Amino acid sequence: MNNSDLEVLEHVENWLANGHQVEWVTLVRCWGSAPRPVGSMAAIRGDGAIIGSVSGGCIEKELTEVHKKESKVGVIQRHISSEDAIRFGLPCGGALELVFEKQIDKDQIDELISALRNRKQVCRSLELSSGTTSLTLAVKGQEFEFDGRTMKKVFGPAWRLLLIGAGELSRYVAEIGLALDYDVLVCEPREHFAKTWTVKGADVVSMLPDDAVKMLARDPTSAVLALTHDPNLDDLALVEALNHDPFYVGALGSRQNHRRRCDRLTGVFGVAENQLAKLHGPIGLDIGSKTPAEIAVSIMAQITSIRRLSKSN
Amino acid sequence: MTDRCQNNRSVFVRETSQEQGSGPDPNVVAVILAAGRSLRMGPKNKLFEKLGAKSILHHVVAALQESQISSVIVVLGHESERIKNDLAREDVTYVMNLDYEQGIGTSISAGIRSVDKSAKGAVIMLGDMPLISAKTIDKLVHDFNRNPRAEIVVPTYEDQPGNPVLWSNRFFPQLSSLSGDRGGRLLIKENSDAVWFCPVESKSVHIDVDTSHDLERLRTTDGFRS
Repeated sequence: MNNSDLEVLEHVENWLANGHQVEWVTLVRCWGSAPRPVGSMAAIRGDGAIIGSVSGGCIEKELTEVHKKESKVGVIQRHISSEDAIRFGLPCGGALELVFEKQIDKDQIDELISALRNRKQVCRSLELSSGTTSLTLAVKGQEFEFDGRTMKKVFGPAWRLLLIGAGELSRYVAEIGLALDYDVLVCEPREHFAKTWTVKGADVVSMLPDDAVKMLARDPTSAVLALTHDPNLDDLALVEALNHDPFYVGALGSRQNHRRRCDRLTGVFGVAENQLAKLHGPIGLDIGSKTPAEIAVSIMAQITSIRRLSKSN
Repeated sequence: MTDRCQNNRSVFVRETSQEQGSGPDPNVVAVILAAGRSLRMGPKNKLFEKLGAKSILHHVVAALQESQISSVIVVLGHESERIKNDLAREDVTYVMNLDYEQGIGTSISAGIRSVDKSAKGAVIMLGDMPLISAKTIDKLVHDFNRNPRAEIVVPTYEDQPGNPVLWSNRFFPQLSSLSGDRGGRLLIKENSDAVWFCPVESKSVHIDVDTSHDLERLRTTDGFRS
């Protein structure tokens, strides 16, 4: 499953290639209730077809008006009435500011798509006065910026999931993770599991789990998920992860298995109690999930809540 | 047998259903720690307590003799002559640890220092774990030989670690320099990337005889081999 930015860009590319007129809008500021975060994008084809979303549906129907604008690039403001707000499940109305672009550089779109497919992080800058744009590699931790004159939007995954094990559950977690715009990597040293991995966009690395954590997922923008059920793989990753500071560390297993795992981590590997407190186990929110896909939903819900609700964000 | 290449972090050998217990393995030896005074048992030395026909220590030796382990070293200290008498008919080597009162570290050190230089690994057995079977030992040896990453092989039952632990000769220098009450635990913590959990089918890896209560419980279960 593509994340929404890539989805929009691929449509834009396709529409341009087929000779359509395309407008591109990006949400740059909002007041009151905001159904989408700043940086969200949508594109409108000449005949009114829309891909992407800047307001969760509240104002998309009005976006076709952009066509009537004279200028090639500019800012428009839209209000969400309280009535509409209620209809779209928001607590109150608000106002949105959008940047629209009517002259789109097709080569640049191709470049962006290729960067996203290769999971690179790229920053696209747009000068509103001149309409000039440029692409640069994004700086680690860089976020969306708009100061009224320049818009800087970062494309590509800023956050990473390192999955230990390429089993069935990992496939579902990877799919949802990609949709949520994570850079998904799968550590699988067991050849027979690695061979059957099919998720496009999520690469398998064959190094051992502790090395994988050390090299790929030790910083606070990473999450480490131990999903093999095999202590010889999971424990290695967990010891390393708990010794560093990924924003999320979780391990699959029943409550009883989790207790035993904690005993091993402290007893055999000497993990301190305060480090162990960072470990989410059994992994995922308790939503009664049973199937691998449901468990994947519960895991990604937990990771989302921790990322979005933590103080640093 | 897989060649053991140390520090080869890229190899991960898959478990196969290879036959276990096929003939003695010259690469792996065992060190039995039998020097202590078993203070928690009161005045009696627990190692001589009978379970069926054999003493506790004798059960340990017998399991090793039945396994693929090629040679058995018994570390002596307290009541050494009595142990030699108890094991008179067994083919074992003895090493005396005069410092046994200073703690288990001195016994591990004495035992490992007397291991043949050609040995690739050593199982460190506690003298008071009489339910360990040859099958369990062979499983440790099997994992050790199959997997270059398995340098400290720890048996687990229901995912919980137990004893005995099989150590690669890479750790012999460190084991040889243990002293006082310092056992292998710290070494395991410091070398977590070398730890390999080896699941076994028997709870025996968790059962030792520390008190007369433990002993009574063993005598009333059918679990021990007599």
